[in-house]
Amino acid sequence: MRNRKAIKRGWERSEQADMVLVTMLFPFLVLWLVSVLMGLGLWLSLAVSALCVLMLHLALLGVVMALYWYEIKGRFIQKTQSKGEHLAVSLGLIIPRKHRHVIGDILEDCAAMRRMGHCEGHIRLHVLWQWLLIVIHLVPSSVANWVMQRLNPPD
Amino acid sequence: MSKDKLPTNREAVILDILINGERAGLEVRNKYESRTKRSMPLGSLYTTLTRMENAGFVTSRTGDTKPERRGYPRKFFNITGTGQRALSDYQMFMMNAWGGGVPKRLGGNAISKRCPGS
Repeated sequence: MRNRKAIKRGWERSEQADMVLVTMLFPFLVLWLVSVLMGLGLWLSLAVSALCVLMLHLALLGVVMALYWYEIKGRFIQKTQSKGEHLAVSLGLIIPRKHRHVIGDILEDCAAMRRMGHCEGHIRLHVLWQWLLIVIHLVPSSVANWVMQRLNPPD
Repeated sequence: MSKDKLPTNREAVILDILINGERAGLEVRNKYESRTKRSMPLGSLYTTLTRMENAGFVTSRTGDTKPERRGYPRKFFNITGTGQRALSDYQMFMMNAWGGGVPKRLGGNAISKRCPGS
């Protein structure tokens, strides 16, 4: 009988101890969960920034390749085609086909600027500026559209 | 009151440019710049037009080319019925918001009392 009571008391004590343990551990558990979530967030943000850096590098690589192409083809440039227009065409080679009409617009712009008497350097600067803005505006929106189409394919 | 999505200021100006008929992208840009006296790069113009096309405000088609474009085609844009309704909603919203009432051509009755000269 005494043994049974002792055992029961022991159980009760151990239950109390468990409760105390759980109560003590609970904040640590919460902290652990928070740190796990923060870690996941950190990894996610790292992945996004890595993607951004990758895209930036790809864009820079594209610019370098376009300029290289411009230099190579520049040797065979026709007399009727100015360097500004040639730059527009060369840079246009690295943007998606569906946006190629923008290159035609830039060429038309170049022709209008020439008619107004702008110098060749100004035209080239205009082309570079327009092209930079095209990359900044059109490429991210194209990537976002592509991702959205993959996530929500049209019926 | 209509709960359709209202166009932004820039979209509304573009819709108003397109209301008289189909126009090429560069024409839209030139008209926009001459009306607003603000520059609009081609990149942001086409981003805006693509967004408007996705919203159903405009349609586009690839058209002919010109000698100075060296074979690159022009892209033409046209306003849709949804675009016209959105533009009307926008104009009514702006008139009401600024206290001018609804213009006559939109079925309203008034000329603004705050602007006696108009």
